[in-house]
Formats: sequence, C-alpha cells, structure tokens
Amino acid sequence: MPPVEAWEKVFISNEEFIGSIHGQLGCITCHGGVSGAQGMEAHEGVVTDPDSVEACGPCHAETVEADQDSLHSDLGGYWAVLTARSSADAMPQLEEMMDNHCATCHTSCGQCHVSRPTNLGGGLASGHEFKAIPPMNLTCTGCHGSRIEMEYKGRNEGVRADVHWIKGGMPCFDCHSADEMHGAAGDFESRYDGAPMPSCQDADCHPDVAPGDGVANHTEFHFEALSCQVCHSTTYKNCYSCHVAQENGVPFFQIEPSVMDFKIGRNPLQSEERPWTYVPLRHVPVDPESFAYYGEDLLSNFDALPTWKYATPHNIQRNTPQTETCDACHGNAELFLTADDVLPEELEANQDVIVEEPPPPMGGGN
Amino acid sequence: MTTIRTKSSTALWRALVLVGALILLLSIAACGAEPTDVAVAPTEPQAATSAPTEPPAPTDTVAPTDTVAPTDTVAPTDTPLPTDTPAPTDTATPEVVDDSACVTCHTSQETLQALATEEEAPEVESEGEG
Repeated sequence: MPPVEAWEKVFISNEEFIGSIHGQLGCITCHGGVSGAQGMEAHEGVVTDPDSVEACGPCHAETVEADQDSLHSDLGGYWAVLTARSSADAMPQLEEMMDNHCATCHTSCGQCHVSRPTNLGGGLASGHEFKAIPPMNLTCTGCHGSRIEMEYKGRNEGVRADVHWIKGGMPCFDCHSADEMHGAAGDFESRYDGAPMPSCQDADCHPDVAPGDGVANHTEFHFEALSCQVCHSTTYKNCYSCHVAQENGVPFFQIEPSVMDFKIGRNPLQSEERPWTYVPLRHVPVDPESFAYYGEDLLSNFDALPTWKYATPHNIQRNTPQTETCDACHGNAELFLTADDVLPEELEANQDVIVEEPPPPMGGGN
Repeated sequence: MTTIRTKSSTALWRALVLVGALILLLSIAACGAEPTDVAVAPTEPQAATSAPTEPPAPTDTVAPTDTVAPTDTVAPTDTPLPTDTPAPTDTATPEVVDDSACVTCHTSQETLQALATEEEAPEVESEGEG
C-alpha cells in the first residue's frame, strides 16, 4: 500500500462529510476528546478507532452484534488452531503472544469502512467518508496482500492473474458477501468451517458446471474426487517457519522467504459439505518453535493439525497445467504432496494429507 | 396548552370531588368493614363526572396518587401514571458539545501539515512477508 503522511491520516479532505449523517453526530460523540478545547488539549482522551459496539452499535445494532463473533473481529481462526496445537497450560503465554503480535490484526467497523487497518498504520481512507463498500485495495488486500492479492492480481512472477480479476474485474465483495464479512452468515470456528462460501456453483456463478456439461474432464469421478481448485488454480505461495519475539519491548517476527509451489493432497477437511478426496494444500508459516520466545513447548500438541492446509488459491484459470492432458496429473508425482515434500519434523502432523500413491498414468491425451 | 390544562384541571377537580364524596359515603356504609373492590374502585364512569374528552396532562401539580385516582374513569390506559414517570430534571438536558475546534483543525491541510508528526517507528523491524 502507498505510504500516507501523518497529516493526511487525519485530514478531513471532503468537508461534505461534516454535513453527512455520520458527520452530524459530531467528532466527540465517537472519538471523545475535550469539548471546547483548542489544539492538542482537545485530544485528551481521544480514541482514534472508536469501539464498534459503542460508536456503531446504537444505529447498526444487528450488524455490530453479529460482527462481534466474526472471524475478522475475534480472530477465532487463530484461537482454533492455537488451542488445537497446544495445551491449557500454555494458553496464558499464547494469549500474551497473541496480544503482542496478532491482536492488532483484528478489525473494527472503522478499520474497513472509514480508515486503513490500524496494523498497517491506519489513517483515513477517504477523508473520513464512510464507505458502505470498503476500498478493496486499502482494506481487503491491505491485510490479505502477500498471498491473496498477489495471486489474484497476478503479481507472482510468471503466474497469471485470476480470471475473475483479469477478465471479470471482480472486486473481493463480488464473491465475499457483507454477511460473510460481518459474521452474519453463521458462527464459524475458522474460514473453512461450514459449506464453501462462496461456492463456485452458486446460482449467480457457475450453476451449470456439472458432470456431463460437455467439458471432457468434468466427469462424475472428478467432481467427487477433486475440488474445483485442483484443476483450475495454479502455483501459489507457501510460507515457512515464522518466529515471533520482542526486542526492547518491541514485538517483531521473522519468517523464511516464501516458496512458490502447487501441491495436491488429501482433503484435511473432508465432510459432506467439502466431500472431495483431493484439494490443493498450502504450507502455513507455523513451526514447532514459532512461539518459543514466550515459553518452552507451547505447541505441545503440534501434530494435531497438518502444516499443509486446505487451500483455495485465488488464481483461478480455465486452463492450467493440470488441464492440459490426463497425464499432467495422472502419474505426475511432482503435483502431489508426498512424504518427500514434507519436513521431517512435520511428517507426523501431515500424515493424513500426504498422498501415498499418486494416480497411475493414463497413457493418453486429454 | 394553558387553556387545555385549565379546562382539564377543572373537570378533574369536579371528578375528584364527586368520587371523594362517593368514597366517603361508601366508607360510612361499610362502617369499618374491610375495603372491597366495590368500595374502592368505581368500575363505571360516573355520568355526573363529565369525564374529560382529552386525558389530563400528567403534571406534577395535578398528579393523582394511586390511592385516589379512579384510574378506570380518568386515566387513559395508554398514558403512564405521572408517579411512574419522573419529571425531566436538569441531568436530562443534553450537554452542548463544542467540537468546532476539531473540525477547524482537521479540515485545514495547512494546520495539519504544520502540527502532525509521525509516530516513532519501532526500533526492531520484522523480516519477511506478513
């Protein structure tokens, strides 16, 4: 994201805002401060990012209530995996770690609809204008940038942009609804909890894609065995070995350079709603010693979850290397996550997603 | 508003006198017996009371008490009894908030450029993609 100077972060460039419905509430109503005071004295008690419940709740009660339990607000996905990989004894240290390194990533209403996210430096996004639809490039991809934006917009060298972007010009919210963002679509433990949302075969998307639709590889077997992304996504970013620590009270992290790869593995979230046997898997940056700064053996149950996780790469293409021929996949061990691809210390954690035997070659064309 | 209140007050006063007299008579008749519903609560409006066409404004000055008010005849059911609704006090008066200084400063690019300062960057920077 382009940097913003300090003055610009707090500059109400569009004075029409003052007369808008939100502007008429008055500065102090939401931000606090000292009535009638001048200069910096007026800033005593000022809150730059007003509390969603107190500031927005009175008028947007339903949305704010739902949002309190959204993954954007409560970081439930992080807690779900930390809880699974650790023990109750380790939670105090992990909570401290989360407070220092992760809690700034959660969003408030304002950090999407008014300003840039605080963890990216904050600052008004558009002169304090309230955006019903947040600016995608400042908010969505501000946080989901290094993987999602890079994939979606084709910024990974040699990898085409997602067809929904390059041809469709579709911003994030064309697929990801306000209900999904606000936690109003259900109570989920992680982003892949429940049915796929969005689903490729939603009514407004590709409802006619089905076995027998005329596409050669759209067979009954493939539809049962493979998620759409197995065939229609391509090389994506994988991250390894993130470690957090502090120096002189300043939290920081260090992570190894990411690795571009594409690996099909066994579905770690196989369910009625995600029935496929194979899905693309992305390596996540966790490491057994990721949080060692905060205590020994905090991830004592590290093997409870795979480090190669269910993935939905955002670089969808109609034609990919996998769709070129049958044997692009069949018999091609390079495409599948095998034991050789997994770090020795992570073998146990990934037992359930490793492919023992890739499908045999077909010996023919498409 | 004053006229309505005066008419209403007069009518109410008449109603109270008549109801009071009725209660006195019934009390004498009962001669020390336990008060009953019949004795306390007139169930039908008394024609002589010429009930007001508009409910009296619930003010502190004419507030009937629970023990006196013939609620069936006077108080409209939708109107809360004055005793349940505390009169507005000074504390309910909205405080006038003056945020003109906020607006003046934060809409002035020159002022902000002169005053705004960057927060000190942390001494330790993270390494790698977030």
